[in-house]
Amino acid sequence: MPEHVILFAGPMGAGKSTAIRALSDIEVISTEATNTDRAGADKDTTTVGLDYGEIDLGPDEKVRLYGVPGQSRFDFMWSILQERAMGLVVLVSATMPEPERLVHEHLSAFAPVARRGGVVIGVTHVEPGMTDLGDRIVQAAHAVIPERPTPVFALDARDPQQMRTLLLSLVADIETRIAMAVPS
Amino acid sequence: MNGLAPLHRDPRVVEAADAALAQLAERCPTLRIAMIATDDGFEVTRVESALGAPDDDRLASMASTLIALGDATIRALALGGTSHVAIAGTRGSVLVRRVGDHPLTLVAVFAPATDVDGKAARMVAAGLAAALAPEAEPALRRA
Ligand SMILES: Nc1nc2c(ncn2[C@@H]2O[C@H](COP(=O)(O)OP(=O)(O)OP(=O)(O)O)[C@@H](O)[C@H]2O)c(=O)[nH]1
Ligand SMILES: [Mg+2]
Repeated sequence: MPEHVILFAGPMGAGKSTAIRALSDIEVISTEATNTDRAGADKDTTTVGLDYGEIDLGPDEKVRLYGVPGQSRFDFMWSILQERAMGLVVLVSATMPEPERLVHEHLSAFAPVARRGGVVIGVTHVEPGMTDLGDRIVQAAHAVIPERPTPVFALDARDPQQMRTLLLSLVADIETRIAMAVPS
Repeated sequence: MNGLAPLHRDPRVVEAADAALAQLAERCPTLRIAMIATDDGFEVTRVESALGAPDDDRLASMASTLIALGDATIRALALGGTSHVAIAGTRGSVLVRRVGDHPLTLVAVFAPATDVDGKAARMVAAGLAAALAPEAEPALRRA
C-alpha cells in the first residue's frame, strides 16, 4: 500500500501533539511556543506550526502524521497541511464546553480530507458519567458528513495502544474505500 | 502574565514594546510595519509607516509559525538557539527576531530591506529585552 498522510485536527488542548508523540516511531518534529494566554487552555505550550511523526506499518507501508495548531489564528496552516492528507483524526476534550460544537467546527474546516479519505473522532479526557456525550458528538459529525457514519472513540491521547487502535481503524477504512473504488 | 492580563495585554509589556517600535521606525526608512507579538502569535502592539502596511491580519501568528519552524530546523541540525528568521521577497522582506528570553518576537516588514534594518532590529529587540528584564517574573520566560 502507498504512504498514508493523516492529519490531527481539533481545538487547543484536545491532545493532538500528545497523540502524535504517543504514536510516532521517530522523534517527532514539533513547533511548540509558550502559551501566553491561559484562557484558551491551561498548559505551558501550544503548537504554532505543525507536529510531524511517522509510523512504520510494514517494510513498505508508512504512515505520516501531521498535527495542526488548534487555535484558529493559525488557520493558514490548516489550509497548507490539509492539501496532501488522506485521513483525518479530529480530537476533542470531553471537559471543554460544548465539545459537540467544537467537533462541528473543526470537522467542517477539514471536511474535504474526511470526504476524499476517511475520518475518525477521538474524545479525550472522558470521565465516568458522561453518558450522552457520544450521541451528541455522533450527531454533530453526521451534520457535517451525512453520507457516511463517522466512528467516535473515547480515549486517552497519552496512551499509545489506544491511539494505535484509533489510527489502524482509520487506515483500514481508507484502504477499504480505495480498494472498493478501483474499477474491476 | 500573573493570572490577570495575558502577556499581550500586560500594560508594562505594551508600553515597553511601543517605545521599542518607535525607535525602530525612526531608524528604518523603508519600514512598512513593525510589530511586537507573543511567541504564540498574539499581537502586542504595532507601528505602521507612511509607506503603508501590508493587509494581513495573520502577521503575528505567521511570525510565530515562521520562527517556530526555523527553530525546529536549527534544533534538528543541533545549531543552538534561533535568534531570527529572515525572508526576502522580490518587493520586500520580513524579519522575525526573538526578544531575549522573553516569549516575544519583533516582526518587521521592509520594502525593501536596507543594510541598516537588520542591525536596527537587533538593537531594538535587545533593548526591549533589557527593558523588560529587571522585573521579569518566571512566567514571563519562554517555556
Ligand atoms: N487526563 C487526561 N489528560 C490527557 C488526555 N489526553 C491528553 N491529555 C493531556 O492533555 C494535554 C493536551 O495537550 P496537547 O497535546 O498540547 O494539545 P494540542 O491538541 O496539541 O493543543 P494545541 O497544540 O495547543 O492546539 C496534555 O497535557 C496531555 O497530557 C486524557 O485522555 N486524559
Ligand atoms: Mg499541539
